[in-house]
Amino acid sequence: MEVSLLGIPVIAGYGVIPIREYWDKDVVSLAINAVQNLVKSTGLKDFDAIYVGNMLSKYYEEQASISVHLADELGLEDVYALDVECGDASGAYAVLEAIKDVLSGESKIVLAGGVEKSTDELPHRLYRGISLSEDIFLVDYIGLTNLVNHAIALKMYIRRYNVDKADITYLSVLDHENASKARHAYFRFPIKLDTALNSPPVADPLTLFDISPNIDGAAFLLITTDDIAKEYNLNYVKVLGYGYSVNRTRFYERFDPTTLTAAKRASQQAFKRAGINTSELDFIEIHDSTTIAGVLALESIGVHGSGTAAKYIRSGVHRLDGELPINTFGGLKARGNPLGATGAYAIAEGVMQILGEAGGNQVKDAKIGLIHSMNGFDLSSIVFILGGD
Amino acid sequence: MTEISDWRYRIERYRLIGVRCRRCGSVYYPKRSKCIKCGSSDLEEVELPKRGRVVEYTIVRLLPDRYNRFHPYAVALIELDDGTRIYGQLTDVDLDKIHEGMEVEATLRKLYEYGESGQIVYGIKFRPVLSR
Ligand SMILES: [Zn+2]
Repeated sequence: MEVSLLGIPVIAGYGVIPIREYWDKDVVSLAINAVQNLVKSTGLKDFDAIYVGNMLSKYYEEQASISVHLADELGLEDVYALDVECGDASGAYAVLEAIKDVLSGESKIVLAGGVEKSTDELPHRLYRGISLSEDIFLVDYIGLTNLVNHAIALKMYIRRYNVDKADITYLSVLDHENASKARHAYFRFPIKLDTALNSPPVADPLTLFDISPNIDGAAFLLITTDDIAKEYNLNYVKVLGYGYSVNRTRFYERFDPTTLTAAKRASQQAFKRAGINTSELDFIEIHDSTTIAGVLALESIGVHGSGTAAKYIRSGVHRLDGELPINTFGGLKARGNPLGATGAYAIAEGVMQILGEAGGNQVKDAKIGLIHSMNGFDLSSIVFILGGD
Repeated sequence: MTEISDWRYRIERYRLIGVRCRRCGSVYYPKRSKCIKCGSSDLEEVELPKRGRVVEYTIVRLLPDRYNRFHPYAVALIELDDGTRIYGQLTDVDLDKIHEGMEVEATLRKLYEYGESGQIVYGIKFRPVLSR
């Protein structure tokens, strides 16, 4: 566990909005709505610092410095306000900045999360936007998109381990099943495997149901120490460990293309800090921006051996009522993938599970959970291990 | 990218100019400043071979508007004749007939153009080798 003279870093509150298409709201308004929910449930409205994860507002709405505008709208003064951009892991990286801030003693009560207003763009501009974490030379001169690495890795994986693609796509069935009960999820209905397999191709062999929808959302967390949380009578979840790493940005130069090396290193750091191993986890939130990304993430964080995760997912052990539930509110595929907010949603969901506030999605006796978030196809990855008191 | 950066990268784009590590011989495209195999920073510019074979590929169907007129197109992981791996967009090919191991060669093509300045951006794509 991360030990500091200042106490243990904890997450002592969350505020999310349902992931939807908010045609009548801008990016800062979405963030405000999520923060208002957090303020309502915690009673705290003054923060020493705010960290806002966002991927594309500079590109879509051409609005920079969201954190400063958010601070202004929230009426905060003398606050440290910083935008955090790390692709679709931005929200998770913003939370880590908050944790490090609290651990350093600089700030005591910190607001961190993410927001994305994906629907402000027309589809073709969106497709370039969500590809912008990739090397722009490849995006503009070769036509690389965010899905190319996923699709090629999927083909390599199937070839290398002789896996049935249906077993991989089954992750979207599991996601939809979990999201069907989740109020804040985007796709609140179950699907059949056949529907997923027969959906239109998007980057062959990936089909529409293998990829996650880029919708609007905002999620924020309150980060402080255990002592301060107790002082304010707040229920909290401890940050037992965290880790982060980067991978080769050019997929074709990776030495092991079917391992998410950044996720692997990040999880190893997190397990080491927490002093636990995979067998002690009660649930996992993985970054399944595509089904293959989710499968590879489960293997890379050490839950399953290479080439085996899809079979386990298909077997049911990762369902909500299974041995080790994953994506307990539907993951990126069905809860939705509001890019810069996605990682913050996953963390908020982990907090809900451990605090027993997950409603119809509650995992029984959820005490320790792992949250994985990543930028693109493992350009970088970040992992948190959260635990109850 | 903008008109200026398109101009800056024109030569490496037209002629497939990458870098070769003087210590271990690894070749990279586009250029990088350090060898990821051996860590050396002693790299020299090199023109890559213009032929290779498809290792894996995908067909891109959700794409940026600047590539609308090529919808859908294939992006392949290509191993060039010297063993260097790169990504390349395929052209002049029946999408149903692409296969792993398919021999391809570089060809200079128009990529996109700017409406206001009228600047046309060319680059390398790969097409099937018809006969050997
Ligand atoms: Zn070298």
